[in-house]
Amino acid sequence: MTRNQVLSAAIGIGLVSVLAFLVVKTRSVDFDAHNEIISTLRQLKQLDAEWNADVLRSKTGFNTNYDPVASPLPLIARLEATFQERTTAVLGSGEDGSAVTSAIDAYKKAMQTKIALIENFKSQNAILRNSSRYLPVAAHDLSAAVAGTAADGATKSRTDALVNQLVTGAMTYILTPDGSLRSSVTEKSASLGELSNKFAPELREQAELFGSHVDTVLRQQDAGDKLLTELTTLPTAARIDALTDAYNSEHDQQLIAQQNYRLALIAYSALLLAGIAWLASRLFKSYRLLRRSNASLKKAHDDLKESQTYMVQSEKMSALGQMVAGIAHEINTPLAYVKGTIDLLAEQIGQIKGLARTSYTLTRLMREQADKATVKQHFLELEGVARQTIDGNVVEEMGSLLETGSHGIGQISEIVLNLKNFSRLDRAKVSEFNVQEGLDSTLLLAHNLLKNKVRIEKEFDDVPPITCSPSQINQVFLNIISNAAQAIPDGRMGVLTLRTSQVNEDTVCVEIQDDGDGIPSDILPKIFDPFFTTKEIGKGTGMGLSISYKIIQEHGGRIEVNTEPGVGTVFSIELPVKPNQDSSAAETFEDDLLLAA
Amino acid sequence: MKTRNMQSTMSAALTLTLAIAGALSAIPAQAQSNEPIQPLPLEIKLDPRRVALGDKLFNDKRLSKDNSIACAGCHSLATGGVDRAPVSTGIGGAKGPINAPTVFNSGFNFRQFWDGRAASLEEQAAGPIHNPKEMGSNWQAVTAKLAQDQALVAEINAIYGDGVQPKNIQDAIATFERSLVTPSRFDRHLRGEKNVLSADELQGYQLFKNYGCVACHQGTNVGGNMFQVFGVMGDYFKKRGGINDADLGRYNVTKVEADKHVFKVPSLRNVAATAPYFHDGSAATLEDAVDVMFRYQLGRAAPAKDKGLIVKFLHTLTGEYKGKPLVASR
Repeated sequence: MTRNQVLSAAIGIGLVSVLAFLVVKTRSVDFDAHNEIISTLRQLKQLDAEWNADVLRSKTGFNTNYDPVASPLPLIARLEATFQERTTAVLGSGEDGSAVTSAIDAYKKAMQTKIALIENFKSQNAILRNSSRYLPVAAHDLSAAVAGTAADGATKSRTDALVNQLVTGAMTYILTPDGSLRSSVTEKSASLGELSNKFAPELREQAELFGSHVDTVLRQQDAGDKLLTELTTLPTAARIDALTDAYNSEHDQQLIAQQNYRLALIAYSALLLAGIAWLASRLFKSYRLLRRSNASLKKAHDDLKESQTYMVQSEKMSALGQMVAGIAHEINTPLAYVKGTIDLLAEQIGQIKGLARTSYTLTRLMREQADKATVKQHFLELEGVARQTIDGNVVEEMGSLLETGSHGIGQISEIVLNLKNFSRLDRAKVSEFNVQEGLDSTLLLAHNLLKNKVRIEKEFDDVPPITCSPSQINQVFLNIISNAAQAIPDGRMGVLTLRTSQVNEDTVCVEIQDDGDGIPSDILPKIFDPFFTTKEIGKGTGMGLSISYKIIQEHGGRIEVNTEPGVGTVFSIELPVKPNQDSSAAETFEDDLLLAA
Repeated sequence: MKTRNMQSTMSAALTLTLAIAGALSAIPAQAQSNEPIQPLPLEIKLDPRRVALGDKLFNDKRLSKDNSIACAGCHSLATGGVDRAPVSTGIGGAKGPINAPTVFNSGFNFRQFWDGRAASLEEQAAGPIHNPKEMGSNWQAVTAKLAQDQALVAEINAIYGDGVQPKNIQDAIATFERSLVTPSRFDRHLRGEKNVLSADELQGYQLFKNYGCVACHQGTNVGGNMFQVFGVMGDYFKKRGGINDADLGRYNVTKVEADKHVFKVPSLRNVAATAPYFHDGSAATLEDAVDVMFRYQLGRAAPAKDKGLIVKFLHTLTGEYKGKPLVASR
């Protein structure tokens, strides 16, 4: 992956993550849990209120046992567990310091205190009830016991009065716990204690027991009052309300947050959509641009192809023009002596004609049985003509002339055949081709360019035939050979060396070397460029080497040039024995060849 | 989302309605009989599979470290749900610090243990398993042992679906313990049946109320719903001597000075079958226990005859388990 791809992937993942985050956040408010918490707290508050009522019922004796006061404990524990669990579900754990957490702590503290207070209340209330229930009985028992003793009347009546006052005082204190009443009861209890010192030990013990129950009533009543006061001022209900408020405001905040996240999600989605739309429009635009430039490129390409075809054609025509001039000359020479022999033959015809006429005259005279003298005269004439013909070797000469004429005609037809071979009209067709034969026929056609100017040296190794378009390869050979001929300065005999060799199993190499001026280094890089020429305007198209290069390239071969100014130039052409086996490539190859042709 | 909201609101409302209905129905039941002691419920709805599983686990010695004792070892259902020893004996003959309370009707106690340190039976079950002087084990060891019992694992999975887990063991044992309910003759009397109690027993009940015993021993479980200091009207521990940690009672839980010697008021149901008495097992007989209670809790003397009648009443609290009456201690 390239850096750009990694970057794009990272951006993509980032965008999707943000989207996922927003979606999750939008759904994060748990309404069920919240409702359950609120309803649990409502139950808890009701339970708390009922509990208070039950405590008071126990205090007033309306409740005869503490089951109603003890039974809320597991309920409270269960409700607490429920909302604790739901809280964790709603807020997640470990959110210390939040309003809800501190509200829970405050509630729990109050509830713990309340539970402890109520436990204490039950204990103290039981003791108070026991002592207050027993006090009248104890008083009666004590009075009866005192009455039964030998104590004096004043002591008896004093004890009686004190006991009665203490019972009444203590019982009143339970109903109306008043400070002055308490001190009066305490005083009287102390008086009874003093008085009982006079009693016998058993009776004294009984009085002490009575006193201790009076003290117990006072003490437990005070403790109970204190507990109930604490209980009534204990803000469990307020704590539950605070907790409910905290939950509600937390929930509201969550809702607001959810709302915000939802808005953010909408905005983000819109942004994403806009981004996607923008990208799509960009894509569409660039697609259109691409299509447009593709079309114009195609047109330019087609134009170029057309002009290239035209150029190729015109190059071919130019080469052909040069060749035609050469060929005309080539044909002219044999044609001249064919004409000469025919002229000479025509001259010999008279002799043959005389022989024929003389023979005929003699034979006619003999048939007419003319006079012997006339016959003899004509006989002698015929003998003379025949001797002249035999002696003059006329028939032999005519045969020789006919042979010479026939040879000339043979030369002309060879030239025509080569011309036909060179420019095979079925040239687009790929066929087996012997490069040496190709070189030979090229040389023949270029004879006019080469004669009296270069000496040809052939260094031909055996090479296998190659599969190619022969006319195109011949065109390349002709192009390079005629360039080579032109490279040799006038006035001296140059040497053109042609070599064929096999590079390896699949490749054949053709070298065309001249000993001309070489190619200057400043133009060397341009020689294969189209339209580049060093010739005068009108003499060359500048397409020859460019087309040669293209032909070799399309054959899957290579063309190289080595040059040394003043020494000469060698073109090396490497060609594959078989073109690329790839079918599509082969097709392209043929198409291109067609185009090039 | 809207529909779901409405559903949850409705279910919350329904729950609330049920809670209110429950509270309302509780009031007339109480109004029917204003007795300080209430009868046991006639029916307790429990999952029978859990009860059966809990029964097995209650009797499973693998819950102890050396596979020597089960819960039932100290809370034998054949002997009143207790071991009838002053203090219990744990693994390796270790003597525990305290008298085992009965497992019968323990579901009606507001808290568990003498000092009330466990809020539920589930919580309680973990206690003895971990106590080095009792079963001396731990959940890891117990669950590892039980997990090898394929039949047991299958049974647990059938009920709970998540294998041998402490919470499942606790739930099963607690459910079983809630099934240990022993209705007695006295319950029938409370439900209005005539001639269930003898005249002496009725008089004993009256004395039980008159002398103030009922101030603490009240409610469905005849106790078990409150704490009380041991020695309201006299210093029991000074008299007995040899104070140990167990004697500190609830103080061990709360560390509040006022909670010293405070204990959960024990249930008096089946009291005749659960001697010896008190957290220290110091009272060998019911008569002894009543004497101590009069002396230190009520702060008064009573004629032997009255105490005798009260003891007679206490015997009426002995109930039946699975149709068979519990056997008295002596």
